[in-house]
Amino acid sequence: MLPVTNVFPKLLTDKLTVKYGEKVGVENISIKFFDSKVTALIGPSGCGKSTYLRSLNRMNDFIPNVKITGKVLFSGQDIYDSSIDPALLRRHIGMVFQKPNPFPKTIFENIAWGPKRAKFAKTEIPQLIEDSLRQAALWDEVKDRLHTSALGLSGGQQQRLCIARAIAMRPSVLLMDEPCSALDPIATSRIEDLIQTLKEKYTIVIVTHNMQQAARVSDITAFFLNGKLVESGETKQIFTLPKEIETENYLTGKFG
Amino acid sequence: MQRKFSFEALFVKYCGVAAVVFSLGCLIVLLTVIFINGIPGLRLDFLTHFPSRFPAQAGIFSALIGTFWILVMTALFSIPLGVMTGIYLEELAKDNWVKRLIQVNIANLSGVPSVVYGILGLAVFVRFLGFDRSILSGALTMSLLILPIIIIATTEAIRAVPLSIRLAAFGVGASPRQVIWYHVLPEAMPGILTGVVLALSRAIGESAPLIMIGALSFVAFVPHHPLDSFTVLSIQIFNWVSRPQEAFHALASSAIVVLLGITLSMNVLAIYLRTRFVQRRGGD
Repeated sequence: MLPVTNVFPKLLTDKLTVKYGEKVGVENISIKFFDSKVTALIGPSGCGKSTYLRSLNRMNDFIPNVKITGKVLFSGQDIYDSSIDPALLRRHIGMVFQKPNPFPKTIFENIAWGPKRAKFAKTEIPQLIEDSLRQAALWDEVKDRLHTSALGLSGGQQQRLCIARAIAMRPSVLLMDEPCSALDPIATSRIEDLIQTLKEKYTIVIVTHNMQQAARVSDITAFFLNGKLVESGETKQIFTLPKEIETENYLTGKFG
Repeated sequence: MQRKFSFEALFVKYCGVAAVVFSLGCLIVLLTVIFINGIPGLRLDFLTHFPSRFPAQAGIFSALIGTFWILVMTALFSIPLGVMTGIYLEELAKDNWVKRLIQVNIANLSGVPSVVYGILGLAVFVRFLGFDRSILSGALTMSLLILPIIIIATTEAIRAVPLSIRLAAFGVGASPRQVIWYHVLPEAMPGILTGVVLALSRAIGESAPLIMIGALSFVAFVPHHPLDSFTVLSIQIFNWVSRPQEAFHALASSAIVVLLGITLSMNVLAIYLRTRFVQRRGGD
């Protein structure tokens, strides 16, 4: 076998267009996402970056009248093919949402629920919970209160719990939709550190409205505007030598 | 800055207070009268005796048992059907004009006078299906009456479950069925339970539909199976109140106290179940 990890993308979209009825969410987006890389999607609000992110694990399926054209290939497979079960797909492509949304259950149950439904071996679950919480840098804070309600955690802890819950499914891709927007600066920096360690194991796509955050955590940046991809490339290059004038204007704060 | 005189604020404030005082006052007067008249007659004999034409010997035994029969059978028919209909309409049915038509009609049905359900019950269950004036006919009629209430309570409770919980569950690869079963239903359960108990309380207080289907007012035996004829508390009360003798009016008050007691304990049960559910989920 050839070492293909960084040559072939884990996930890619090819001329992806998402419409809500007649309204265009995003149009004609082609991006490739690679293993062990963090890709940041940036742009002003309403530019379609969250819409695009949700189309990567079919979270848009729940919105009525949504129409998708173009292709999303995950490990070479079209995820919108009729043979794909979206529930199974989402076990491989996990998601962390804008506002922390733990289940109104115990910390333990929050993480165990997904693996139990996916028929993971019962004996394996306690270890899985410890591993996930360690990876999410939350284990030391909650190891003595695993069986108390997750709603008693702080916002930042809840969000790390949601990350632990997502990685407990052993996904290969993690989608994060503005995961820090509801958090204070200290909790935000903990999550950003976490993203740096997680990227060794997962392909991470993060939506953020915070340009500094994109600069800090990502390897690749894609800039969206009005439903279109303006440009994408190495984060360093985008932030220092953007090719497009709109990117430069946005990054220098002329609009947005 | 001087506060501006606002007629609306004044209106809302004083009319609101007046409305509360008036309605609570009426309730208190009503309850006081009933308790004063009813409490002396509340002896064990009253609960264990059959009705009689001698007020001193009359009791509500058959009505009490009949009420429990109706309550249990109505619950058996209406809760599964109503809750499942609610789940189907809210979670599974496609959002099209058929669904909207059904929902509008269910909302309208909850406002139909109960006596109309009685006529329907008489025509369908008593005559057409030949269940006669039985507990079965009564319970089926009552089920029809409270089904819209249960369905509406269920859909409202399900609608109140936050989208973020559903998304979280879908995000870890749950199927729609798993999301409904493990997250939406437990979260909606307190609301559903409240609706169910309210609906059942209404069912045991109703008399018109049962009078229509021909429940008896003098039953000197205990019904043993669903096809026996029966009476219930509300009909017994109705019967006693309409008699000329004062003594029977006092009996009616006592029976009302018993009926109130049953309704109240059902509400307590509902509150207990709700807190149990919240605790089991790990509390809020």
